[in-house]
Amino acid sequence: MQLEQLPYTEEQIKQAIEEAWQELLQEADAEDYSLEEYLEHYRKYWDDPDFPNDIPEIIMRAVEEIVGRPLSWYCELVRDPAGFTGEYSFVVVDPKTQKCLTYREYTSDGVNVHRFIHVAGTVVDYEGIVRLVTKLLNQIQSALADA
Amino acid sequence: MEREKIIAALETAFAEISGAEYEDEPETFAEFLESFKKFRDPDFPVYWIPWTVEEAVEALTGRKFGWHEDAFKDEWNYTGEFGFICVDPETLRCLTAERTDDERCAVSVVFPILEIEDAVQAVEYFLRLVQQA
Repeated sequence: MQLEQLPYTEEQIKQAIEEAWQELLQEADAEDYSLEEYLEHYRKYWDDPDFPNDIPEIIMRAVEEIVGRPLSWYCELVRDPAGFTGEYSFVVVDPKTQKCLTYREYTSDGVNVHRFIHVAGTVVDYEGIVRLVTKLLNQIQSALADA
Repeated sequence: MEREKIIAALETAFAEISGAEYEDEPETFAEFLESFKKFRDPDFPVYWIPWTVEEAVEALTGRKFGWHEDAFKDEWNYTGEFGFICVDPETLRCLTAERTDDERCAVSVVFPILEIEDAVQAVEYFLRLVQQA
């Protein structure tokens, strides 16, 4: 889906991501460094279990900021036998109604229904974060409109 | 529901998922769990475990659900714990959601599944959730 279809601009999404990043820095009482610096470090050490993985937190804080209310969510860091793949898989639930906002189903042959309750995306750089926030917003917005 | 009926549903589901139904001396789900408990090997097809639980729940309720499952891993091996999220496709309600003190809710439930009894308990839990919904 294109950003043009959304009631918010790419600029707003980038601003929400930056605010989420600043919030996390403040909460961790960490020194001021940019999200780009963090991502550079992240690319080198993402499979180190001690590396603090803030990516899902940044993504969902940005989504909540734009949606304008708190959401409940679960994020799986997708792994294969070699380790973390860089893919994040989110399930988002409306805490008020407990409805799953990331549910989709489709049928490829008219008989078998495939059900997905998550939205996934790979993050290796800043653009990856923007893409995943956008993807989540598209899905959540359409689920909230259907509710 | 009777324990035997749940175990039978688990074994049938496992045979389908693992392809054991086509083998001459198929490994049972209980045996599979036993070797998983011993080794918790990172190359193990560990997702067969939550998929078996989910299929058994669907067979016993006669309904389909939306699922998400996560096999937890420490630095080296699988821990034997599995996170589950279950959504009712008719209402879109997340059946595993539980209110917390703040304005959010917990979305997933976690079960250790290292023995057949653990799997039976997980199935019983989901059957209760479906019944309550």
